[in-house]
Amino acid sequence: MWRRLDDNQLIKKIHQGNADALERLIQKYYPEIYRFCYRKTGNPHIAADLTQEVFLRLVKSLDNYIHEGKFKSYLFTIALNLCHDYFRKQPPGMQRLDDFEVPAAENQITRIEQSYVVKEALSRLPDIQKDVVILRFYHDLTLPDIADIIGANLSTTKSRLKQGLEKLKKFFREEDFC
Amino acid sequence: MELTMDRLTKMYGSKVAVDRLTATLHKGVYGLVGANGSGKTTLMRMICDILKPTSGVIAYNGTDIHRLGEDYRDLLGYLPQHFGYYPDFSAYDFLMYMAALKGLPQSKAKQKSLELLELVGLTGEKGKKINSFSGGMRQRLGIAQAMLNDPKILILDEPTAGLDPKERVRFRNLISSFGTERIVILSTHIVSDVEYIADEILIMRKGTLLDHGPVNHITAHIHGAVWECEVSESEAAQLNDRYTISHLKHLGSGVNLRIVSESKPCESALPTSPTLEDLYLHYFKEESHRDR
Amino acid sequence: MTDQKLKEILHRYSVPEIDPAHLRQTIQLAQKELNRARIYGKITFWELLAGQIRYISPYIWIAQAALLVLVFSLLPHLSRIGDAQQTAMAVLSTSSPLLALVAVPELGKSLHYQMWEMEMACRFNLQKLILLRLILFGVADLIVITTLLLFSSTHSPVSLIHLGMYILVPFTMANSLYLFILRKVRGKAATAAALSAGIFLSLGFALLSRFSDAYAVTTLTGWFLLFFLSAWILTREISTLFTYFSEGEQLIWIRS
Repeated sequence: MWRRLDDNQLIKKIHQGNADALERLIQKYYPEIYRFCYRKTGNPHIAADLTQEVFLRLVKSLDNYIHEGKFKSYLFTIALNLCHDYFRKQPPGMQRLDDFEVPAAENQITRIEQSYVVKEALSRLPDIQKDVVILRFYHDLTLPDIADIIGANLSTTKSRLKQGLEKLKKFFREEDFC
Repeated sequence: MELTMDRLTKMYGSKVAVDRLTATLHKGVYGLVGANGSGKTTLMRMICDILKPTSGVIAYNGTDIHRLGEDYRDLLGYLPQHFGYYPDFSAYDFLMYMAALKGLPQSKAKQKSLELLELVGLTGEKGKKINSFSGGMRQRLGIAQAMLNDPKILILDEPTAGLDPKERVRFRNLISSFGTERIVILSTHIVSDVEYIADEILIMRKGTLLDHGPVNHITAHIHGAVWECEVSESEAAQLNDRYTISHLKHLGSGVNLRIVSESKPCESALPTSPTLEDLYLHYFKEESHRDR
Repeated sequence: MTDQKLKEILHRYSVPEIDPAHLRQTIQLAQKELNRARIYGKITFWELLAGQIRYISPYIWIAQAALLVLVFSLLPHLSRIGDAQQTAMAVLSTSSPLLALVAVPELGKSLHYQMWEMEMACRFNLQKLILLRLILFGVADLIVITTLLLFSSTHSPVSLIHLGMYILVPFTMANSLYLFILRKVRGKAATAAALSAGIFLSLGFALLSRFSDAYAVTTLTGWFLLFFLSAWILTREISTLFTYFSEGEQLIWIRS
């Protein structure tokens, strides 16, 4: 019976205290939120902790959740805010992604290198452009949804994406990446 | 969290039940103490928005509770002094019914009902008809229904009525753990019920708030007016007629008396530190004489 | 470089595997948080209404069904003897006060069993509960009345509108009377008072339809006037009842 429930129906059940519906919702969105937090922070442990915090924050804020817009956007808004809070709490200088860890499944040197180069490229973008690029390219969100999440209007979002993409292309060209 | 009463008055016809009562309550357990007919129940009914004040206002965090309506009732748990139940209800049915009226969704209602049955020690009786329950069991069930919606304001009118000593102890523990994060008001005419669990005592007489504060604060008001003495049986009988006796103990040689009196009652009397019971007797001399 | 190519490059940035233990921990923590949180999602009035049906005493439905069966079995026989119009009138006008009577104990039960004070302090207070019960019985009565009408119109030459009036006028009158009694008579006596009033009313209508020529020949306009008058009284009675149930002091008769 769960298959047929969309996000809003799940939320309604969770609202009524249904723990199974909550499990279902977390199963569904955990991987995506985790990937987002990982790409924002570059550290798997911090990403996991932030992901957990996103869902706890969701439960606490259900009271204020109103059914307008997509639930997924709402979840990303929480995630984005928490990531920003995380960086704000870090002393300056520690924000860089020196603690690069080798993804467990990867073992070929070239792939690790490539992964590293992309990470490096993203890290050079200012946060406001990086957020838009990550949401657009890794999470396939539409521009209006992204605008909603980052709390900017559509044209600002578009221009941030454009600037971000140009910088990335330039970087990859200089690195002779293809 | 703040519950304020401002010159609260309730009249039934020409009879004043609550008379310009002003008080501010914060988180904590309040013991509302007073003789029968002192206006405790009327006050509690007004706090529950069951009775409308004739004049004056009750406000929760600054807003008139009557205007808050169902939002206020969401925060409210109430155990009336007298209550019944529909005859075909089991303990569990009763809680599920009340939970629905309190707006709890089915799954939450089940969970809370079972949790509270456990808390008041009725898990074993959950399927039994309330008809077959003792007075104490009914009272415990009543307390459970008041807590179903996890109230921020819990109003209990004579909650210990009908409870046996063991149940009283259990009730006290329950309330003291409950009172840290909410406003709990419980009325009683049995002082010892609230002496140890109430953070603050409110003493009501004839519709007014006679005194209020933590137990040691308000008992200090009658410092020097409580005496202890050892006298013979015949002297004790005389003193009993003239003074308010708070405690009487027969010894081999005579009688040990505890007397509440502004003046020294007899030669051998020594002042002693007052308890809440003494204070109550001090305020309710007339009523307690009448009771005898 | 195309956007497509860029996307491909970006996706070379892979993410470590998810730790299933951490996922499980997250679910558990979130569920704990959900349990601890105050109950936020409140049910709506209509959800409450659906849930309350099972608390309505089954005897109500049985009594209503019994009444229907009784009319069904009596009407065809009776219409064969005597004046058809008078018979229809007698049967319908007698049964409709009884139909309304069936709901009285349910409406009065909060007071009867001293549940009203607890109910008044709930989110859905006594006033809403009474409204809810009125809606439930109103719908049930409407179904019964429709069935009665359709049935009697097949067994009687009298027009549907006349039949409707024969049912609705006594029905609304009876309801007003019962609600008035519920409001005026306190405690357990209320149900008994309503019961006797109902039987009295029912007998009254039976006699009236049998013996009063005026009653039988009253024109349709007359019936409509009667109906609107009784409906107006009923509406006023219902609104008075709600004011009554919103003021606790009206309900307190047990002095503490």
